[in-house]
Amino acid sequence: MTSAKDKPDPTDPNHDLNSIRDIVLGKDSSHVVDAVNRQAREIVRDVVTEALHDREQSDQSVNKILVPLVEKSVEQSVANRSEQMVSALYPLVGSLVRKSVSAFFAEFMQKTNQLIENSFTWRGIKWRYQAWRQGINYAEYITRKTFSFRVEQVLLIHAKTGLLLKSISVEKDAADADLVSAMLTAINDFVSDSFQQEDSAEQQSLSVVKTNDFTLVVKPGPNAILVGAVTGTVPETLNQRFDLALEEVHQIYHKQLLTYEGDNEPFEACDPILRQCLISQLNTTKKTVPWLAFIVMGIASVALIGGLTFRFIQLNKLSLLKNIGNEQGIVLLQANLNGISQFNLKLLRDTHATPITEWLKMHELNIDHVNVQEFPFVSTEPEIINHKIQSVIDRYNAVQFESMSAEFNGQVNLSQYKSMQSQLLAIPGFSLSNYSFDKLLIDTPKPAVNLLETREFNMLVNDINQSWIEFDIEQGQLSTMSKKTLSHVHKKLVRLIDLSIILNIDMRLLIIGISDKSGQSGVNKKLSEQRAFSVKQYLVKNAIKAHYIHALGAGEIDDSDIASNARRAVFSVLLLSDNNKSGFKQ
Amino acid sequence: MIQKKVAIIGATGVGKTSLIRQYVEGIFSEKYLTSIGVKIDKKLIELESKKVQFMIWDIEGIDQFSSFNTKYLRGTSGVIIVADVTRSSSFNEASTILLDVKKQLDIPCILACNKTDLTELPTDDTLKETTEKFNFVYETSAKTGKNVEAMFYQLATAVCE
Ligand SMILES: Nc1nc2c(ncn2[C@@H]2O[C@H](COP(=O)(O)OP(=O)(O)OP(=O)(O)O)[C@@H](O)[C@H]2O)c(=O)[nH]1
Ligand SMILES: [Mg+2]
Repeated sequence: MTSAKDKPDPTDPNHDLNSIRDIVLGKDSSHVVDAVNRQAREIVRDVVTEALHDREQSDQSVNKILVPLVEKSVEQSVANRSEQMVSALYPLVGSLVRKSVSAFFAEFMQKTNQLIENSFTWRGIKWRYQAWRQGINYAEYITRKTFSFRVEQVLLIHAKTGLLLKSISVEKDAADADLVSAMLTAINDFVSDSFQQEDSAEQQSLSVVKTNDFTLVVKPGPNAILVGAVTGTVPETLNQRFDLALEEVHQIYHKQLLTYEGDNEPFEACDPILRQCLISQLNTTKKTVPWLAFIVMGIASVALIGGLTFRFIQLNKLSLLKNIGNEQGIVLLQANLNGISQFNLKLLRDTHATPITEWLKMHELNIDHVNVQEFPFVSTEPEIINHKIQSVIDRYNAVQFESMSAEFNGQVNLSQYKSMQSQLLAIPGFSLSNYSFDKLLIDTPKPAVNLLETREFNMLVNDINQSWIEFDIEQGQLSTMSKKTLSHVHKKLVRLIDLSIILNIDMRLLIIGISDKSGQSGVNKKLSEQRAFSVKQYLVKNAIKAHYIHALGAGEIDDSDIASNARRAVFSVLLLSDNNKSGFKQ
Repeated sequence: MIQKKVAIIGATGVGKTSLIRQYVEGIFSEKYLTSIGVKIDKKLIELESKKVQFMIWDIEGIDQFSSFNTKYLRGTSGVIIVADVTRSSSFNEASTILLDVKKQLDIPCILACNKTDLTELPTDDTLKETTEKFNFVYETSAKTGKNVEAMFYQLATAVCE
């Protein structure tokens, strides 16, 4: 059916053309549409991509139309086939989640490590250096080095907000403790959410976070969480300590925890409670000491040092031995060390030089180890010559030799002088011109006139010396008998004094009073003095000049042979004159 | 100084992480790495009378397949819910999130209409309805930094009241 509107208008200029089109293509063009439809798929297929591209370029309308369509269809397909979608995406999402979670944990660990590593004490720096040298991480180093465990840091965290209430540490407060706290609670939320059906958070929450380097001990309480960063192996006692501290915090700060609004001021005072958790245990494991190696090394080094020391001592001894060559009258020809302890000496020695054995003793050298080859030799060294001079003059009692001034002094008679001189001249290197004899007195024979007087003088001396004066028991006074004896002695003494003047001899008479042992010794001493004085008195009364006489009391004579006749005074003539000196000596 | 926990929530890809990064570090990246779980940052804000330290929880994006872990909201003092101005559906999601938050907590909530450097804020009625439910609404750009600082400052003021 067609309406009036559809009817062709004969006045229309296109009317003819349309009539022709109708005749050619048919009234409804259906066979043309049929023909185009048959080929359209191929035509569009070839141009669709380019067409979409061009259109999007010109007015961006393609995306506007396509995006909602695509979104809608994706949404629909996800809603209808969510199971299939999830299983298709699962591997992709799984790895994405793992990557993201591990990034979170890496950041968390890094922050926590900073908690522990934030110390910059001198010891900290030293350990850090050592750790770096050993190529290990600092926390690990500390543990190995010192502690079997150490709580480095304690954090008190508000359970609800994850905000850090208070933190204390061994070394220094760490900057990111607050971040670590928040992250820990986030982990806790995540863990309790992921592994729990019912909402009983406290039972399922995290209690330990472990890494290679440290352990985070997490103690969750209803309102606060206590966390300890521990290096080393966490001991069981630590858990109890943490539990107690957490309980205490809850007891004391119950109200503050419930009404916490972000102000940490009230929790400053919980420092001592937290500090109780900052415990550590020193590493007591001792290193095994390689004793055997030490002993062997010790012995070897002692032997080496000993050997070297011995060698050193021996060489030292050798150089000491060589000093023998400096000795007068000795010429060192050779000195060496034979083997390790035998010394060889080859030398020339004057008979007057110091004997080798004596020299060795003087220098505290062991003679046993010194093999001496000695050859006779005449030395003209001054000291040896002096030595030889000395041995010559030793034969003349009254002669002295001053080696320093090269002077001879004393007294000899003429014949002695002559023989001494010839002996001195026999010494090699001795020359008379080098010595002075000015102080040597040479006796010439005395004139014959005095010979008789001298003989008489000597006889009188003998006589008087052999005389004594007898006293009665306990008597200091001369008896008549003894006065008689004394008058003989007096006569001899008068003559002796005359002769001494003639002979120019200075002399004295010594009177010694003695007593026997009967009676007290104090009395006897007095008695002996009295006896000597009685004799002196008698002689002086009889014209002997007092200066010739010395009297003294010798006290008791303790000799059984003479005890019976010890009540006496005896005489001794003392000759003081120079002229008779030689006589004294001979 | 007081500490406050705040959270940034919103549909996936709206720019939560970018906003925080811009605020905390002052940088922006075109690269998109979707967040999983939660990421925490901190920032100290000096208000006129006091200092506030924000612990900012960047919570993973929400879509129709996953709602966010409400545990993450425990103890939160304030939230910023982010919507993407180029994606109107993100405003619906912001409404839903707001309801979830209000169910759990009575805290200040700010709406961040993000990516305003790309397009103007749409002016339809649903959007108006949504914005009215929030305490504060900010037109932000994590890319240019527009209103980012101001929004966090406002949040700090609000949570301290
Ligand atoms: N132009 C522009 N781009 C933005 C802005 N904010 C974010 N983007 C971009 O949007 C994408 C997603 O940003 P994200 O910050 O990762 O978004 P998100 O909300 O954290 O995403 P999820 O973590 O997956 O939920 C990234 O490519 C960003 O570069 C903005 O203000 N302007
Ligand atoms: Mg993100």
